[in-house]
Amino acid sequence: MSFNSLVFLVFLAIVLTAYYRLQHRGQNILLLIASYVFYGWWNWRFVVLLLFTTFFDYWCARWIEREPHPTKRRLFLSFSMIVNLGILSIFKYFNFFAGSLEHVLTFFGMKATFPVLHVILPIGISFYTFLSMSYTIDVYRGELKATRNPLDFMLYVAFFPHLVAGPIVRASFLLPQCQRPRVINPAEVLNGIWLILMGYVKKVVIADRLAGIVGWGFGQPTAPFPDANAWLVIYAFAFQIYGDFSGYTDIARGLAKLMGFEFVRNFKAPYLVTNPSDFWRNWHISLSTWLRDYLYIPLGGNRRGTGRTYANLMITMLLGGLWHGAGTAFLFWGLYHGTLLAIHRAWQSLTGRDTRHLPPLKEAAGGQTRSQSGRRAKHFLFALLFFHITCVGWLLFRAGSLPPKFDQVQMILSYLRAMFHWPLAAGVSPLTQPIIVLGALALFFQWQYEKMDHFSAWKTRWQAVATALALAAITGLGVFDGMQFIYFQF
Amino acid sequence: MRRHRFYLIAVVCLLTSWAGYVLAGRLVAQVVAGRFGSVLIRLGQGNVSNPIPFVQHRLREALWLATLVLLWIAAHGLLDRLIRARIKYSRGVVHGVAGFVCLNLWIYAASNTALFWGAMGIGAGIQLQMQFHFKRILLEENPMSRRAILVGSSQTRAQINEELLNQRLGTNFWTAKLTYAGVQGYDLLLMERQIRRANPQVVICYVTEGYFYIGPTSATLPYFFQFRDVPDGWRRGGFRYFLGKYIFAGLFGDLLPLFRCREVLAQRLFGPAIINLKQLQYDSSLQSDLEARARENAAAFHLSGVSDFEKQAFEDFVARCQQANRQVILLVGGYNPILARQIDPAIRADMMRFLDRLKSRYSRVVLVPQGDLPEQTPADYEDLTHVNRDMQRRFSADLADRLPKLLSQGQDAR
Repeated sequence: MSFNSLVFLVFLAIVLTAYYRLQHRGQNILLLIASYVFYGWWNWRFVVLLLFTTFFDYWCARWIEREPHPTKRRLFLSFSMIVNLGILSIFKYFNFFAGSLEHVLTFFGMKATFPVLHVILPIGISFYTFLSMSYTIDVYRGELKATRNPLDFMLYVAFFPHLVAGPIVRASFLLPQCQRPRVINPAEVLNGIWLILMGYVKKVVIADRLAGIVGWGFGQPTAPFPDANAWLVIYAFAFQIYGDFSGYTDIARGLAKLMGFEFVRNFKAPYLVTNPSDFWRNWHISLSTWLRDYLYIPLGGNRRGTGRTYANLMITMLLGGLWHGAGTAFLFWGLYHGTLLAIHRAWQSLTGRDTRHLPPLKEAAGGQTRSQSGRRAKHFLFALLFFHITCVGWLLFRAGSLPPKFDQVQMILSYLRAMFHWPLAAGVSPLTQPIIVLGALALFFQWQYEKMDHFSAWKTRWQAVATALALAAITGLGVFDGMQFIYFQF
Repeated sequence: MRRHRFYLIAVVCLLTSWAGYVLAGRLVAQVVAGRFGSVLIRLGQGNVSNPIPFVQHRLREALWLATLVLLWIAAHGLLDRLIRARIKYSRGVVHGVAGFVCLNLWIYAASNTALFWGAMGIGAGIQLQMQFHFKRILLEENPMSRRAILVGSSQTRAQINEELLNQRLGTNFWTAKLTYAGVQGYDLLLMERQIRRANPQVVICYVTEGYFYIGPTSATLPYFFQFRDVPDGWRRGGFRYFLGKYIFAGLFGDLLPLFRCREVLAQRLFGPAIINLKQLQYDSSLQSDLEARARENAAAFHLSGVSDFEKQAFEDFVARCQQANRQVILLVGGYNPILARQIDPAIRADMMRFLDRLKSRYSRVVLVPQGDLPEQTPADYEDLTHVNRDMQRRFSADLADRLPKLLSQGQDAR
């Protein structure tokens, strides 16, 4: 069941009606049943795997907590990691690694054939596996007490707003909300309604309208035409993926607020930043912080010398790329971002400047004096430049989702040739108009990301205008052909 | 105080404009038409027969839409008085939802004006809905004593040039194309309500196997299906064949006119590329070899329960036309011979039997056999279904010559 389907709206109406009539424990049971129905709607067999992961990590955490001996505790943790990552590998990565190994062996003149697993990739497996893993790790680290009530833990893992595409909410943040009675705050309900409306605007208007351009651009074996149009297709994808994923997160956060829950913010203003570090502090924040806390820092972070810091960065980003999909293109996307982060770090070390603490663009834009205007222009130029650098990364990312009949390398090279061909095409492409309008809307949401979270604090007239415009945009400009969210595949 | 002054000024302006329209609307229209008449006729592409009533009607529509905007603002004022004391947190949201409802009512009213549909025109791309309603409204206003509409799928559109017909048939007969790509029998039945509003005396349709035998698809359900069509659709068993999402889209569109206009609005705001790229993608997915594509397409034609459903709906469409004393001229058409050769001959035979039965049952039906129409060779086609410009011109000229006789046949039958 997808958020942008009619059946989901009916489902939500039923769930909310019942939810507001129940007490805390009843609410949890209702949400748990609803979450399994929501997930099983795609394929009931997915629920079995979800239940297995949930119960397995529930017991692992209990064993870890009970066990005083550090070696045994580590053993239980390793056991949990192996099983979780093993499931993920079998369902998501087995065919990729087997195929890659075959290629490598063939390259060295050896012949080997590995079996191909014909399994359906369970939707959202990467999200809930990471969610569940973080719980056992936190219990192991002593940062969290293992919950005794399996229903609370089941709800934490399966809670339908975040189940299939995040945000990856930590157990320390969400589990207490499952355990304690929730208070329905009218102001938060209002914020939730707005987040849902905004999420739908991002999804059905921005992302799904641009999907036509992206689908057309990448629906051919090479870049559709030379020069600037290749950039336009990539811009379209950049705004599409932002609209799609941040739209999903907004809907998820909004739904959570309607039920008295609170999720972490997953997106800020990723296309208004000036460097890769800030990009990852603004894009898919719950994943980047997960990778930082459970991978980068345990690897040693920046505490073990310069060389090791760069290596840790590359390993983290490579695995981050691979998390998105089992494919060489995703691996290269991770490598690309790892390289950008490494270059940025080296630049900071060389110049002694810490650009991490540059104010956001809108703060830079607030000045009136001459120096502030210069700062504003400089920031704008850097943001523009870094947006284009991000777009090159998106080309790799999109190539990772190409159908098997296309040659990914040929596609990427043809796009790069077209993008960096000078001079750019003369005349205005018909693609410009939708990209400007929809891109401006996406950038506006980023620009005002903080205000978007506090709808209840807006003036009544702005609330009215925004609500009417959002409803009008969804019904009057939206696409309703059941397009799935991009991040479901991860 | 400032708000009251604004309302007062707006009301006075509007009342003055209405008074001006009643007293001097015709005069203003004459002046505007005198100045821009030739431009309007040229831009109208054969849809504007007389610029004076065209301008006069647009002035009235503009005033009507402005009046509705003022009523909309007044409704908000009233609502605010009602809820100010009662609702604390969600007053903005209530106003927003009320504004959205008002916007839908406004769009409903606007979608019955040529001004709105004209404003939605972008002069490029695929604008079926906009063209359909624009032409329908202009036809309603047309002062000619005899009016004919060309209905059907994109084949009717490709086959007949309405401008040429209008030029050839003199000043007392006017034709307008109310076609929709991909139309089948049930679609025509759904469109009949719209056609009725234009009140034509003659309905001309280029009929091919595509109306009955290509399975359960519907081009018009999302745009014409209404709640009142549910019982009839249920009775016919149509819901067994159509995808639920098309039916829901139609019903949702009936509830929210804004939803029904979304493709037109999206094209207006985002440009034609939004829709054209889908068509380009579809075109690029087609086989380049016509023979191979014909084999692929021919496989879609088959006799089934759906074909009986579509034929019954087509017959009911004809029956409604007869009931409204409209003559129905059915031009029996075909496809590019490359495709026609591949289609099962039993399908053609079934269609001919059905059309003959229609002719015998309904006195106002005039059937023109394919053999009587200009012959069409593969060289006359742009693809497997649509003829080229040259063939369109020849076919239209032949139809223009033939129409006076066909019309008299229809009258004889009456």
